[in-house]
Amino acid sequence: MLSSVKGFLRFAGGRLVLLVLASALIFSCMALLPGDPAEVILGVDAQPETLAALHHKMGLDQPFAVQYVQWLGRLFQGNFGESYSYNVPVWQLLSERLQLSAPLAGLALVLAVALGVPLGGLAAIKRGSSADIVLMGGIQLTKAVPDFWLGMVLTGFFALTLHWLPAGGFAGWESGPWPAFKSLLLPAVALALPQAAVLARYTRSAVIAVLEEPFVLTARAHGLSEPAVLLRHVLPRSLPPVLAVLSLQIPLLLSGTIIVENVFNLKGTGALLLDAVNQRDVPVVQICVLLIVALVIFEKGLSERVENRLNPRAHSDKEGQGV
Amino acid sequence: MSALSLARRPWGLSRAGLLWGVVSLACVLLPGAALWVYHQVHPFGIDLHHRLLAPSWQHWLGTDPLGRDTLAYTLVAAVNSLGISVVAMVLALCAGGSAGLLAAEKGRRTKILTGGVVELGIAFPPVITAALLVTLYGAGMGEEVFALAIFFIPGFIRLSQQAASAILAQDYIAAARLSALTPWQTHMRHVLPNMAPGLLVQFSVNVALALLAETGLSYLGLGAPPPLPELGRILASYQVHLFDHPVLVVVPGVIVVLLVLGINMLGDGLRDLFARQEKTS
Repeated sequence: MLSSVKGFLRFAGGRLVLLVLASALIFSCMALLPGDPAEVILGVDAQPETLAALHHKMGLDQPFAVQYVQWLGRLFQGNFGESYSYNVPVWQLLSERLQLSAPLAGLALVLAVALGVPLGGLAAIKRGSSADIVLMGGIQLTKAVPDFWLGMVLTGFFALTLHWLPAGGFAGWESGPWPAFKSLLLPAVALALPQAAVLARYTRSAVIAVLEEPFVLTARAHGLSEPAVLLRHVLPRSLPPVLAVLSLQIPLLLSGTIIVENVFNLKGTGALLLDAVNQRDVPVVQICVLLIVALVIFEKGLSERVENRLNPRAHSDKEGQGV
Repeated sequence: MSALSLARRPWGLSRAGLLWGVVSLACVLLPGAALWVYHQVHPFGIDLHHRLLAPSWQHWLGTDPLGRDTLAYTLVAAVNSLGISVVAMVLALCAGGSAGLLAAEKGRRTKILTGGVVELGIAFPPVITAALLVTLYGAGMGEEVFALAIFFIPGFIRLSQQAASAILAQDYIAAARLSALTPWQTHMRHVLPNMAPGLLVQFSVNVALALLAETGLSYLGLGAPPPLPELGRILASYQVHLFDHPVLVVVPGVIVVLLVLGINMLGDGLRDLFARQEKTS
């Protein structure tokens, strides 16, 4: 009990240190920005007094370290700053856009797992058969397809030719869940397919490795039915490596969301980030980047903990889990 | 699970894969390189009288919205995109490989430090780093290469640390040290050559991933600045013709698929080749 509390504290502490490091990196990057943020807001021909007043108001006349600590303190209070170009709180912009991006990324993740893991398992069970060869070929091909181009091809086929689904834009949740779901389906499939291929490939090798273990032979010798062997003995033991791959795929899924949103003209977090980059809207870029980085840091730590829980044998040979 | 232990394919299949990989890469890169050299001397011009032409003997896949030959322009872009990805991965290999070797040799502090770098690096996908850098310095080729390299350094660090730790524990390293070889000589003669196969396989896998990421970056306009043709940028500019000239969207995508598929096949083939050598030796 005590050791698990200690383990949790070490995990949370390690993640927090990483997050502080990442936020310092992001903040110092943006603070190095050539040009003066106050000048960006007021325009080039602003009065020096107005500029100085705004400098003071934004805390830009303070030393760099003080600015960073103040910024971090505001973040912890839930104050994410104000967008330079929209003059509204960043949090308000972000929470609007997340209503689109979070369901999109979630749907893509669910699709990728629901497709990739069973197909990979199937290929492993039928190893060497023609089904396995066809699946492996399909996986090799799908892995090589850029998700955003797949999005264009799917639009061309399902939206422009067959008219089954909208070609782009978001119907909005207020028009009901079905139209909203329909407008997210094509982008989610485009995001999910390449990820599903990677997952399927690793699931296949993980399951094959477990199938060769002696305990599978023992279970079969005990007269256990094949589905029971697979579900009770093979599946739980092949999950840890699959989970490890999944956690490494998530950063790519999140950045893929930014690109695919652009293809389908969806005004989500990705569009917000890109507009902010083009307009040098520093607070918005900072928060969007920090959000994604924080998500990845915690997701990775969490999946490592689950992995250790599933496979206690690996626990003892790993070093420095806290970091 | 090391990269080499994944090899479970019959040798005939991996040889066929190796061959297919080389052929599909050559199909894109040989004409691509020739056209690239030619267009350094004669840059692509804009010819509005010949815009959006249908495929003909003169223009095999027709012309694009600005009157350039679609196939030639895409092939030149493919060479640029692949070049950028390869340069980024060479940087990542050098940085990650040497950091991993250092971590395997030195004490606990270096291990914790590189562990932190690994965890931090993975949290910055190329699009995110590129968004930060472009906001700071504007779009540029250096920024693009850097954004790609950062994300792939952790993988190289981890692999090279694992490989180097395993090698450093071998008896022949102790023998080399006892025979008064300097640490530098030990590394060059005994450690690096044994690490090379695993790192090379990882390098090829990562070049394929970096190429996919590069097309994404240049599609979003976070890549190298405009006149340089890149696969992602030309896809972005052709996207509006998805309905009236679908071939414009298909060609760059198929070129990306051929390149990535070719690199992956080559990587898998090399992995099997090294695994086979290890078994026979």
